Amino acid sequence: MELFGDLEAEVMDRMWARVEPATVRDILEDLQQVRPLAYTTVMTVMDRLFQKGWLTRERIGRGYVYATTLSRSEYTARQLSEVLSSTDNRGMALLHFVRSMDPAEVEALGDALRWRAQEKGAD
Amino acid sequence: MTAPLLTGYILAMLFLAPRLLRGAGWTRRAPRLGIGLWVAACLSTVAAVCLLGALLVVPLLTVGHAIMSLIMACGISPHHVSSTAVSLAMDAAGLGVMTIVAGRILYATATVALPQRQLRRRHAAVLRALGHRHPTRGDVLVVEHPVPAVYCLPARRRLVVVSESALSLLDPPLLDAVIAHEYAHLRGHHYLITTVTAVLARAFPGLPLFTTADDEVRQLVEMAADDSAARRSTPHTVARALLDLVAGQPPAPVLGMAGGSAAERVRRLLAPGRPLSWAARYLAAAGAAALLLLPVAVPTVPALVDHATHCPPAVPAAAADTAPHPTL
Repeated sequence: MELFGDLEAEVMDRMWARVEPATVRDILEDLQQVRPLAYTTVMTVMDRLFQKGWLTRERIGRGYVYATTLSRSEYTARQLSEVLSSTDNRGMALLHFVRSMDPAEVEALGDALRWRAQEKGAD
Repeated sequence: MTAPLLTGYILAMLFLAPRLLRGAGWTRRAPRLGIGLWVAACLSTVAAVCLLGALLVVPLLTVGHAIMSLIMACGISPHHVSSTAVSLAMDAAGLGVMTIVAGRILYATATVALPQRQLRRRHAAVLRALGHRHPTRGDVLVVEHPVPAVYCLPARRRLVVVSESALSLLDPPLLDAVIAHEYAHLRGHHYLITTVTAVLARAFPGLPLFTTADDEVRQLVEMAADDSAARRSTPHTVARALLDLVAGQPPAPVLGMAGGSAAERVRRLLAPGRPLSWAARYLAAAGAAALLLLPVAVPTVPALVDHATHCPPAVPAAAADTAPHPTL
């Protein structure tokens, strides 16, 4: 799966929001509520998304009807599992706030935290 | 004379310095200084190895003149190069050292830095379509995912990413603290710093300085970001955010080093050490600067002295020509 351009991201956003398959004109109408766009621009973008594997399409009449290959949450899961892996090089690519802690430590430190909060009268 | 000293310096840096620096508790109390010192130690050592390689090929003065000629247009003074068997062997060894260092760094950049950079870019681009802006915090991207995850992306447009399950675990003050932590990473160029140490650790595996520096710097950037977040909220809030998020994590399949360091971060926030005295801070900063300057100063200082005696001011050109050149 290749990356998105700005307009590609917008089109995918609309496609996911719709759930059911859509034609270029459907998406164009959605997008035109925000800003003017040419039919051919949207058509080109959707064709590119098809080439990249983000959309599937089926010929109906003279045009295509497009659908997303995977749902938004399926894509998200796939994307996140890549950066959340903690073993290999890819997982090291991002600075995470926190990844894991020994459960015993979590409990002990949680107790310490509550105790301290009571002591100070905070929280 | 210089080569044995340099060799001693390199060996001490490679094997002794990581022990001393890791054992030094003060880096936890001043993480940013700790990061600076670790990075300076790594860069100084790499530069010293390159210098040693250069010294096997050409005399110290020539290296110094070369560095100076980069700074001022004086030109490299051509030193006589003899070609005995010994000097040829030294040439080969010196060029070999420099080639290996450059080659390993290039290799590590290609296998670590570039793929990671590409992953981050691709991920940022995809997330722009997958995620949605947080309703009240416009600088935060929320993604639909059951694992509590918070991270930042150093893309062209800086991004802080929070998964929906992480969002459900954090009430607003905690979320603010977490976001402050992530922005501290982005402001502090922590991605650049950790990439440098990761590249060196990959380039020269098995050398304690680089592997320890990579580990330590990864922990220290988290502590530096914690401190920054704690200044904006309270240490207590940051500690609670850490624990709340970790409690919501699925059990980790492998408890790596990250697990231990997270607990250390909480302990550190709950019982902060005495802040480092100003004198100690200046000393550490001066140490980092000295480490960085040393490999440059070793050849440049003698060359400066040489320059002062060999190249008098160019204005009285005739006088300069007739001036007797002291031999060194």
